[in-house]
Amino acid sequence: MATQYFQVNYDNEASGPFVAEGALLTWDAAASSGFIVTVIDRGTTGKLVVALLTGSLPDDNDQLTQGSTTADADGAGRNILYPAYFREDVSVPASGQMAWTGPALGVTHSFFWDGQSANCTVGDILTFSGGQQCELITVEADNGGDGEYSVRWITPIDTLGYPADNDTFSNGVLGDGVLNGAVHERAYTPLHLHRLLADLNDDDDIAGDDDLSRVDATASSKSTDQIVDLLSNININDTIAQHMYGGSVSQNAAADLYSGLAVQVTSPLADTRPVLIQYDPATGTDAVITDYWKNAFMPDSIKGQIRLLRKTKSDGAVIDGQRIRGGLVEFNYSYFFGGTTLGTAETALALFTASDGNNQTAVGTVAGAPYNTVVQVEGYQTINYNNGNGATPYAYKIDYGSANALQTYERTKYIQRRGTSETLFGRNAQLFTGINLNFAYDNEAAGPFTEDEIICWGTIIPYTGESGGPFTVGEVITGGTSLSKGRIIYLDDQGTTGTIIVMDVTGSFNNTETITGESSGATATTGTVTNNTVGGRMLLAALNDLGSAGNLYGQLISGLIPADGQKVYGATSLANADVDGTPATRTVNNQYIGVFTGTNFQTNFGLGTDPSDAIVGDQLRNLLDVAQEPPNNQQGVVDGLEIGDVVTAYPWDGTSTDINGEAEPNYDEQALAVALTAGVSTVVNVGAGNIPDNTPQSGFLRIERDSDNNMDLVEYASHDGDDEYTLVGTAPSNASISNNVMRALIDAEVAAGSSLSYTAVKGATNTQVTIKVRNGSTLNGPIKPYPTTATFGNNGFSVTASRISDA
Amino acid sequence: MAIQVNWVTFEIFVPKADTVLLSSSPYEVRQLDTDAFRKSLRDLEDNVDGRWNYLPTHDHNTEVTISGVTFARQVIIKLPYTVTFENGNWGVILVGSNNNIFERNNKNNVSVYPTNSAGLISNFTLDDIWGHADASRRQLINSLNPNINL
Repeated sequence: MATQYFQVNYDNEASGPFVAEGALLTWDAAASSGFIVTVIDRGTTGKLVVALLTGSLPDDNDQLTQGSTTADADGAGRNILYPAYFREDVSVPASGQMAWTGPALGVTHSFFWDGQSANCTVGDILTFSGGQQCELITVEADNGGDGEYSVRWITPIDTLGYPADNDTFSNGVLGDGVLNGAVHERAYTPLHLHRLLADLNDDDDIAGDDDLSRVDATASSKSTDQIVDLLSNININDTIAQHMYGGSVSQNAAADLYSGLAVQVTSPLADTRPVLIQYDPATGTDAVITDYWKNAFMPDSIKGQIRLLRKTKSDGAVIDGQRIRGGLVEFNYSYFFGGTTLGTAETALALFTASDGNNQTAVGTVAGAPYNTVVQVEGYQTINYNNGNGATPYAYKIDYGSANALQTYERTKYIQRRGTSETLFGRNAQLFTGINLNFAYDNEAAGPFTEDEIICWGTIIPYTGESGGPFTVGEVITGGTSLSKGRIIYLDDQGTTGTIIVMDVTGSFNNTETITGESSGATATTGTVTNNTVGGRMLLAALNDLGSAGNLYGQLISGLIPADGQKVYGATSLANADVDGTPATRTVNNQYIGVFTGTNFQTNFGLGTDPSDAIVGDQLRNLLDVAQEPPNNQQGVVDGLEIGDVVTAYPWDGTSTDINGEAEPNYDEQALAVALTAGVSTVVNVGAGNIPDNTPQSGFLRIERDSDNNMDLVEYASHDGDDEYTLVGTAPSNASISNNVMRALIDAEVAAGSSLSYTAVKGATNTQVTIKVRNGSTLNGPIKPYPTTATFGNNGFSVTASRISDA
Repeated sequence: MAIQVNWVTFEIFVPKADTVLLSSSPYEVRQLDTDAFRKSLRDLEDNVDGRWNYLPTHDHNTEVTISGVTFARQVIIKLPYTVTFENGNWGVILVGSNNNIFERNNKNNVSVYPTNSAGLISNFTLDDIWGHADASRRQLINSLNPNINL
């Protein structure tokens, strides 16, 4: 229940004056009471603005008493239609340029307290006996046992309301107190503004710092309770807007507009704080809005937890089509980005998040090793996942370093967490949502483009004769003849000449008309204007530069996608080119890297991982919008070895044994389809389809030679998975068609370490192998031959040798 | 030329030069240290030319000491391997183990004299070999030790 305020005129004051924010005012023989917010003292007459605490409003001639001061009500008390402190919190000078004189940014309410036994401190979360919560922002007064706090209200006001007079509160530790009087709103709606101005507008005289009375023009009008238009010379500024919520305010003959935004946060984390992103005319680019709302600002269970006003139109031009983006990027929770277009009244922006089961490590841990050993490579590049598709293009690659996949995923969360100072593609990582736009270009001029620059398109205005400049990116220019307006998003300033691109244009600019910068005051004369209804900006994440043509990949950060043939400009390089074909838009997951299943990455468009880290099941979406899946690389490992040991691992058919009952190598696993000539042949052909599954991409073969039917050990550099091995060098011996060929999966002596292994792409079938470990040397030998078998399956294999001395 | 193995035919070839000359008159008698012989075979087994063949050339059971007496090692040439001594008119005494080289020997002009004994021990004494001292071997034994004259 909102606090009820009224004002009452008085006369016959005695022992005065009344004191604002002092002792309680009583009337009706003390049956009713109130808290004086404002005193307008005119001697023995005046006006009191009072928060009603008990009873009913005073009647005409009721005696008003505050301590020893008394007066008679001059007419009945009348409710006022705005929080009483609003009058104290703003000034309305004769210029009409209102200013904020109230509590600090972030404050939404204030109250007086007493009955305190231990202090509360700034930042404490105060919990009232009725369950309401607020954060202490400013200790306005502390007189020991009583004082005044300015706070930010956290709990929904529509459901939990405000605590009642004398409700107790605690900071959860020792700090405590008792509410003395009412809780006062210190953030205001457009309707409150309209009501305040109307109240001042009907006064017979000005008072305090408000120079507005009935002799002045009407100050405001309202279309609805949420849509208020300031009239005459009255306007608010950005600071006042930061203390408002719940509707829209237009001013300066509708040239400026503050729009209402209600952020509805659904999160299991009560302290979730949305990140809001909007184009900033002052800097000429999109930026994270400085957070003053934390996890609640004038919260309402239905309308939203955080309710704000944002400027969406200035100098007659809307700001980035009145778009705003919101994100939830709380570490340990799923990330979410959403956007909306603001306007008049209040617009909702719903944001959702949930606990992220793959991101449960403390943020401080993820800040260190091994998480911080990941290496990011940004920009156009090709990556080959050795899956037979060759190298394909990407815009980003992350190398796990010494981290594993899960740790790498958590690091990507860390990079983009709320408040991060990490960057992606040259900008704060919170601004990056993914590569969602790409198009081909041709007719490049003044190139090349450069990665991480902003690509701009819109109405192109070459100009000459600039004076009073320079123009500035972000400001609005007005055509002197056409009266068209547009916001500068690109400026190629060559002194008194140059080129401007504007978006959010109203009307069409003329050739040879004067344009004026609304902020800079610069003027110039237009050349041949190219009016385009579509304007926008894109962060260039990857440039595929093919000369005068190529492909641009990036994130659309303002406006709308360009049309086929539309000219685009690089804001930094000043290069320009024509869009060649219809641009493609891409849907990306909210987490910039994409989805992590707990085992595999399913990356967003154009993002990949290092091939050495990629595993089967990963879906790594390239810039061709094709997901690349690495092959299932598995290892066959024999360990427990010593230097000098010789290990052989050959294919086994699973059943054949030799005269000793041991698994016999599959010597005739393959056969030559084409004879080999010593010193000449470079390819071993075993016939179509005869290279088995699970064959290392490079390795060794045993090939039966003609001279004595022994089997040469022959190294190959690659194979085609079908019929041909490409040798390293040439065949060592002559070998005839049908001679045996067998894969020597391991066939080597241990030179260092304690294991030997091979790696192969796991195919559809398993491969059984027969292994033998031998050492007939005096280096860590001799040992008895150790035979064993293994199956190269979905997880490869690993066996440990048993080494028994044969001395 | 060193000991060789043909991994296709499973033939172990022992050149005469790899044996030690004991006497050359009236009859050339040489000695093969079978412990060194089997070690050579192990070494050959893990060579790049041989390791593709998984059949071991032999089994080996090392010396065993029981109650202070060290019993000789055993060297068993495994099937399908055979042993061929370089052909010629000479004889070879197999020392250093109980072994089956004689049984796996490819017969030619070389006389092979195994010294196997159920009681063969590593500390070679007269008593250990007395049972073999038939007329033909008596001469050999005498030649092994000048202090013996059977």
